[in-house]
Amino acid sequence: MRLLCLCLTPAFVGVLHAGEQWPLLRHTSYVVALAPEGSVIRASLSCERRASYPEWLQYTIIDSSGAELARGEVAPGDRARPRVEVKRPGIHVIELACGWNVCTCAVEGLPYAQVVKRRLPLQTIGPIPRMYFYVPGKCAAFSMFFSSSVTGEGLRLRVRDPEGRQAGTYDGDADDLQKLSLRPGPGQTGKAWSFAIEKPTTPGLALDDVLLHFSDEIPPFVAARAEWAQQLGEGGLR
Amino acid sequence: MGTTVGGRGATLMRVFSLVSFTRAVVTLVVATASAAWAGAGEDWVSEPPITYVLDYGSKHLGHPEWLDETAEAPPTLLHLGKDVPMTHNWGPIEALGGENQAYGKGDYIRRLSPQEVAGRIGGLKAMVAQLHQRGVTMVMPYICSMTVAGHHQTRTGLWELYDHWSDYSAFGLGPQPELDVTDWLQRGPDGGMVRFYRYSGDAYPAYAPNHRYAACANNPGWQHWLYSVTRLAASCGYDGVFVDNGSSQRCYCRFCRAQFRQFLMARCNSTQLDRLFGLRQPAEITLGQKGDGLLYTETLRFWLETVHKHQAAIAQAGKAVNPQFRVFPNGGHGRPENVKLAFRDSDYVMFEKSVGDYGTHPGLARLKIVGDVAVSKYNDNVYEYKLTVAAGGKPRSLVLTRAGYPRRDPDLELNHWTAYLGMAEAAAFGSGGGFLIRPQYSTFGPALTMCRGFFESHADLYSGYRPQALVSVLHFPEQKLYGNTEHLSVVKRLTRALLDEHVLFEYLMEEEVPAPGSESRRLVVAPGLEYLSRQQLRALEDYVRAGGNLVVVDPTPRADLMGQALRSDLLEPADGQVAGVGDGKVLRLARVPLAGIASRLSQMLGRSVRTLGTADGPAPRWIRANAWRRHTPGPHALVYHILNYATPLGVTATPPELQQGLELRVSAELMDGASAQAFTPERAQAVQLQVATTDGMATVKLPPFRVYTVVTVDSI
Repeated sequence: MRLLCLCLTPAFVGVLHAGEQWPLLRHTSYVVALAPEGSVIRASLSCERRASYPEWLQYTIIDSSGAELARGEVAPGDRARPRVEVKRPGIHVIELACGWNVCTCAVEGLPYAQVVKRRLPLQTIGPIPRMYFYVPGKCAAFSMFFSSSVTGEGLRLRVRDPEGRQAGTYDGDADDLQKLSLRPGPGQTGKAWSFAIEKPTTPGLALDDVLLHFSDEIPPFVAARAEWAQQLGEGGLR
Repeated sequence: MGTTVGGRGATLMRVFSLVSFTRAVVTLVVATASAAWAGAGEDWVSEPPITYVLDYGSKHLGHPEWLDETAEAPPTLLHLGKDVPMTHNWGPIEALGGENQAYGKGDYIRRLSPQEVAGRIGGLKAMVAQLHQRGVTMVMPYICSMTVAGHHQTRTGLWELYDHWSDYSAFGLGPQPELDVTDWLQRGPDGGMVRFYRYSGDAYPAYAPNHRYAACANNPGWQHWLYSVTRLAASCGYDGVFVDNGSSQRCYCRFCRAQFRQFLMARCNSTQLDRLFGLRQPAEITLGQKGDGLLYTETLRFWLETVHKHQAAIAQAGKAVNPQFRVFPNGGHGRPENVKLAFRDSDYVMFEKSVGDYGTHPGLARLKIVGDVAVSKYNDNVYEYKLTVAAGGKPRSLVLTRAGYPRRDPDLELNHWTAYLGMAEAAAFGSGGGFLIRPQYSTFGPALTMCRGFFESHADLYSGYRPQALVSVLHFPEQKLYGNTEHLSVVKRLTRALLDEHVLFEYLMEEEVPAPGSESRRLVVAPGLEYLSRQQLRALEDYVRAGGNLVVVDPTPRADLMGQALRSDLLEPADGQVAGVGDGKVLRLARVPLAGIASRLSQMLGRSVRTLGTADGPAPRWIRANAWRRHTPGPHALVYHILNYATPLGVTATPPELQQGLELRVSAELMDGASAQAFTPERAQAVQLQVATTDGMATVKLPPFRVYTVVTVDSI
């Protein structure tokens, strides 16, 4: 019920501009958007070639009943702007599969976020300046799990609390799955936190492929805006 | 000035700037490529599938309980780890089992004394004989085409064996090779050691404090050693060897340099060397590197031929002991050029399909996204099985799949039903191949026994056929040698589209461009073929002019096999348009349509290309079909295999739902006066089917099945 109310009142809307399109997604990812009745989902998709990989981005837009509303492909180097009129208000899912190439996705005018959980980790390459996730009110502790399994690659992960203060950091190689545990202080729950992925400071280590997900306490959404992370996180969906 | 194609190296640009290319040169190179590959040949016919278990356990020798366990559901082929007298990488060591990385430290790598080796040979002979007695047809242990373990400075591992070579000569090793092990290794263009598994630190983690090295397949020292290892395995009664890293050859050592010189000189005369590569004397011939255009293409071709010879020599070493000895290299996945060229004389090839968004096991992966929203994905291995069929049935496909990699997801694991689906898929789409089952006999034993029993008691469903298809997809593995990676991607998208809409198809390789006037009732698809020889292009044009139907999917041809610009207006009508060319038609598609390909093709051909349906419309996309037609005398004229990929994956998955209401649709002339029967491993008796004919189409209602059914059409 609460989710429905949120869907009907998209209080926080916005459009990402060129140059702000991250994370760069690899393999298969899912983006969710909250769409009120009568609204239109306009996704801005791009597929970027990495090395000589030939895969095209294949996308599917699915409504809350699981029905496919649109399918399409984007060639490496191209962009697409699929548009779907919303008939069934609520959560909509955009499936993005680009193999070893990378893709980006922004949804115009609606709150949206990446789905990030153990079975659907964030599969990204390169830096992420800042993305937000929601820490629920009663969360005493949570963890972030991440890896950068290619030899010679690592990452610097910086986590910030709702006030923007550094709450945790990891810097180095991550061939195996690493864990960063965090314990919110008083007044720091029921709010959006953020993280950034940067080049590791260890000499000789590069930043490229990174996999990341959260422990089960955290709602499975990572958004470009704090208010979107909060809105989706408070909806209770898992 | 000749027109050039962008993105090539300086050498090739120089080549392209020459005014003329002789037809003779083109003919030479193409003819040489063709000569290397015999193609499917008129004599080739399909073989029954096999069941296949991979068991890398270390407790086999001296463990009778393992023999008992295996005998519960003996597979046709049992693939073991390093259960050998002498391992390829360390020499004779204490450990047994595992693959390259396993048991690479401490006591495991203690060198066995000659007396211990003799005892091990005796034990292995008895073990293999027991396996045969208990119903395993073929047993093959693990070797690797290139891995050397040890330390070149501290002289551990294979260096230690080399230093004690004479102690082991009695085992058929012959004299110590002149070259030290360090001189067996693959070298880069700069002379440095080539490593296929890069690692930081002072040691290969699985071998610490030792290293992992890559030996060169052209090196006489390594050849001598590896072929001795193989002979020793054969002497234990093994029926063949699995050869891991089957195609890992990227070497610039002195042996490779010398042999490449011979290789290129055999393919080009001095004039051609000058024109094509800017080489004035044979002494100037060097192996190419990425960016060297045609020279790199030839270098890749040389390495493939090196691998081909290496695999053949490994087989030959075994055949010296057992004339039926077989080789089973790894390296098919994502590398159709290996299947066609490097492994063309190998018996089997492994497709190690590790990475997939929903794992790679066949069947239905159901994934919850958020809330109640979930997606259903249907994994399959159809491409791999059809690829080897197109290559003439040799090598035969053996497919390894996983429930996620490196981490396994319980919801994507095989269960009884999906194991059955995997084996049925190998039977339906492949020839003589199989699907890898892990040695968990309590879980998979019943499916193994059921499938092997069905395959062997119904061999007539699988023996003596060739593909039956309305659509021939031109799949040219050699496109990759020219840098065209898009082709494989388009072929795979096309494969999925055709499967989803139940269009029967086959792949045809480079040498099989249809002849003019042939098969005008069928349809040929040319997907993403950027490089064609002028003869191939002309053959396609002639095929269409003579009444053939051709679908061209972008990217269209842009260069010949020498890199010279190539274009055919005949093959490039506007996107989505059908153009009449002579007596035939050409449809050009900028991309593979995600839906509706069957309608497009049906429209072009003037008849339905869908093989399956229901009374209400199309069959669901999780049902997939393949068909074969009789080529040698035998009981069935046509055989249709139908599978249900909505067979749920996962350790706690429910059994697949019974599939009902499906109809097979076949051209009435194929069914004229014929009878049809349905077989399935799920039911003891065959079912006689009713055939109804209307408007030139015969419809056969299929009896319910859960995973797999086979429909035979017998002429009366």
